[in-house]
Amino acid sequence: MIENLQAALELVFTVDVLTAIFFSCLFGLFTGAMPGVSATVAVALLVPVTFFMSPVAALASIATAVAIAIFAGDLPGGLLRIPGTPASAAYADEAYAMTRKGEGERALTISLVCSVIGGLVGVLALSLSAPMLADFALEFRYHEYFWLAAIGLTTAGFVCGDNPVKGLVSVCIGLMLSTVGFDMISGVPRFTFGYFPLLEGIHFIPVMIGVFAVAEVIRNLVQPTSTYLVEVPEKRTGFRDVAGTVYRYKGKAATGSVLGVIIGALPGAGSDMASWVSYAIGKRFSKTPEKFGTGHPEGIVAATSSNNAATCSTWIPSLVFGIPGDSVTAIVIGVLFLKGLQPGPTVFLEDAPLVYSIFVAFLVANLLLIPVGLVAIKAARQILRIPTRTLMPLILVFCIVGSFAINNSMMGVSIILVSGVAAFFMQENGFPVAPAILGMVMGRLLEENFIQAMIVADGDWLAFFERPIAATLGAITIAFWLSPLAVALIARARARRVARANGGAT
Amino acid sequence: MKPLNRFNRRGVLAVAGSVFMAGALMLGSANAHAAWPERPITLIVPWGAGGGTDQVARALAASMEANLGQPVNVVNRTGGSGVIGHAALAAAAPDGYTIGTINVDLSQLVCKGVTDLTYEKFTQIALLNSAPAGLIVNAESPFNSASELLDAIKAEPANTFKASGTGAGGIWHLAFAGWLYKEGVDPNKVPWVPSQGEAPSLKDAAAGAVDVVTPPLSSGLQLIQAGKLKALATMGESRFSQLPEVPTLEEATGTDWQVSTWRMIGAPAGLSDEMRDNLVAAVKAAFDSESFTAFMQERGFSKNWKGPEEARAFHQGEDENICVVMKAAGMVN
Amino acid sequence: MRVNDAVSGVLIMLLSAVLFANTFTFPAVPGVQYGAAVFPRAVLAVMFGAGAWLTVKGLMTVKAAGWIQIDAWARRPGSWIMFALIVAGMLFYILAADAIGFVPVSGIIIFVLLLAARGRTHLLSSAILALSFPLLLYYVFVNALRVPLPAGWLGGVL
Repeated sequence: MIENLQAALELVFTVDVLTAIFFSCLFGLFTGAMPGVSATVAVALLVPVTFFMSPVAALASIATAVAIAIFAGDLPGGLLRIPGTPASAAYADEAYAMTRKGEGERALTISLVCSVIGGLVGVLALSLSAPMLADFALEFRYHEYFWLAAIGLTTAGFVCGDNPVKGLVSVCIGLMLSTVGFDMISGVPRFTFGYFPLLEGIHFIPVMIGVFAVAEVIRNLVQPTSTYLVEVPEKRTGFRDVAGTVYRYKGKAATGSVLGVIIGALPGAGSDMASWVSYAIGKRFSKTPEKFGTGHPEGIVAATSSNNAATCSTWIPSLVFGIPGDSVTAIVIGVLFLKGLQPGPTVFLEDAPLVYSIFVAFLVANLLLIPVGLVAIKAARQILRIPTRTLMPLILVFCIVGSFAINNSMMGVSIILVSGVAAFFMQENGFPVAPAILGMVMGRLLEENFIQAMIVADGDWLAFFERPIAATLGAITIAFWLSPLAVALIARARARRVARANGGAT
Repeated sequence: MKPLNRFNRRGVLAVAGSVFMAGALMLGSANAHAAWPERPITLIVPWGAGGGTDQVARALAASMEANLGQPVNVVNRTGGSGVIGHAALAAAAPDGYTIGTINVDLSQLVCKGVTDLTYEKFTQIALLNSAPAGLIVNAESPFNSASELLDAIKAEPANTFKASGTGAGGIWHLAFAGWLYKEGVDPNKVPWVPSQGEAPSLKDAAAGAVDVVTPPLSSGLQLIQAGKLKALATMGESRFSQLPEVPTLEEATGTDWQVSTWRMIGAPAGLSDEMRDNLVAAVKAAFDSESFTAFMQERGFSKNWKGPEEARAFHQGEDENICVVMKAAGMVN
Repeated sequence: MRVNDAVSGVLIMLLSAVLFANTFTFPAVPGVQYGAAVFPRAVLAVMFGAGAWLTVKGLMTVKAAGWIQIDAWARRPGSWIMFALIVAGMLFYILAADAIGFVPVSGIIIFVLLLAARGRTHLLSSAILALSFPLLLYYVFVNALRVPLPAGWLGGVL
């Protein structure tokens, strides 16, 4: 471990990697702060540029951009009440309420400090648990991977949006997209409809750029929202005051970070969910729950430490099993493949210094967040004056270039057009799009491990529950599948009881 | 409204400044060259950016560039299992400014009748590397030699053992099925578990999910050294330098059976001899460079140089040999 | 613009049925036990079921919610013109960029979209952005990152 860490330090502290980290930091700050450009979009736009970097620089750039963008998402959340990134949505109202009281800077500085705390806890969890888990995961076979992918897709489908059935449809669309092209098992072309370029399959990075960035460009240009910066005279905020506030709610910061780590480590759940859950739990166990929503820093502390912790820990399932925790790590897995690296337990044996350099990059990014964040808070009002509608046409052209660069063909541009328009209408109708991306990334993994499992076990279905880990994972998955049914049944039983009680009364 | 205008003006100035800089830089680099190469060279890679072949091509291009003083642009032309990129290379003008990588996969596609791009459609410049198939098992496997494994396969009923290494019909599947065929065993007796490639199959072997895998020993080196896997043999003509104690298949079983993957640099057919010599010299210089050597070592790729005539003869031989193996393994009619 | 779930549900069922029918065209490979069609058929069956569920649930709300809900933005013709311009811009790029070149085509896209989004008051800044941004991208991607963006008409100049 020590020698790996040392090798990693040597890999990260080179001129080109540090330059990449520096520019990604500025990029993450700017994109995260722009309403409508979420952390996912930021990473999707960064990918075409990372093609041309060394693996360490590429992964360090992504890690930095995400860590910074998740914090930067708080800036418009606090000042405009428009979260820059969905992970900031849980407490945007709270921070905005503080801004209206003239405590905007205080809210953002508290948020910065807690983001760094959460981020550091996340880095620690990632770097300690991932190698241990990888050692354990070396024993995993096809059946275990099948169940892990199934759990990831189930969570992704159920937690995004309010209608699990629509999430399920989205997952299915993603899975079907992953089947286009040559089938690995028998080598036959599928769903190409005689169109030659489709034989290689649909590259998921253009789909991702389309679904997240192009759809967002369409939405911002078609449904412009007018935003107002609150011009309330700012009260001066001393560092002592901020430190005091954070210290007062240190318990919230701790539980928020730990919750963030745990939720992030689940396959299929990421920082968005972490911040909502931590905010809700923070409120539930607060001594003064009635103050939540009125510009009270307690909820911000819990939620913002949580989403930054989750940003790091979502890399755990991605690196250890190759199963992404959220849409950002789905892109990361794509980048790993592009760099010829196979995410999974063996990457810890074969490319350990590289894995450790990701940990170091996260650490550097979180430390860098302190000075960069302080400057950003001062400059936030200026950044937010750049109108979104000026930016959107430029982002559209950038999307075109990025999708073209994937394999230098117009195919990528056609894919972002189709997927962007489709995603726009899907979201208009309440179909979440992130599950489709996760479905697309995990589709091959799910299918291959299923088929491989069947071949290895000579078609024995019981083999899916034969080994203890597979049996446990399988039971968890099936419990997940049945949970909406159980919830519906309980609700119906309760409604019947209420009806009966009412009936008895009349 | 005011701050908005101020931003725009400042932004426009910044952008205009960088565009001016860009123009100045471009003018600066446009020096005239009299001899070859007087303009950038295109290197076509029929596979996606970041894959093994792409990495080798990019490392080679970087070294060539440093020597030639002209850019060598790697262009990924993917599609149709490599047919599209190889076809683009064969169809390019034979003027010495378009070269590309050629892989063993092309010989397989020719044999399947998917394409007619035989060795005759190219001017071979040089073979860069080749890697022979291996015979690798889990570290706790009861088998300690290739012959023990073979005896067990012969003795036990069908479906007892499972093998993996690549997708169905891939080169390492060929290596395994062809070997069994040559030993008089029905290849279908050991079902092939298709996988995404070498790395996933090695992982599966380390987890004990399959009984034997056939990627090159160089690909499995780290897992072998970490004590997770055990190498039984290499299907090359000589032993693998970094694991000298592992015998070749012929030494282990007495059966002469060799299957390798390989990468070469080629140009379209009809290239003038002068241009060919220019390219051979440029590729050779890059091949011998320190940075390329270091890169190949770091990624675990072997380096084997074959000059133009040798490479052409090799390519011709592969077009024939691969097809014999594929027919033997029942993968083509 | 939100159509009733019954409409989406029927569309989903149709799509999965068509794709399911398509799986029967996959050639059978001898010796392969679990073929190419196994997984897609399983997914499509689930998708069909989800579509059916949405249809049934949607039909129950038709009386209350109607077949379609049109939001404020969708009532403004300007929104749809903007939408058409974005799609047309990308189509224009796909069809014309190889012949005309990256810089002019993306310049036109940026200029038109900026004008449409911000009105004629920002004519000058729109024109400057439309000229400079494509040149900057072209320089970065072609020279630094080696992406062969189509040069087109400006091939000799750039």
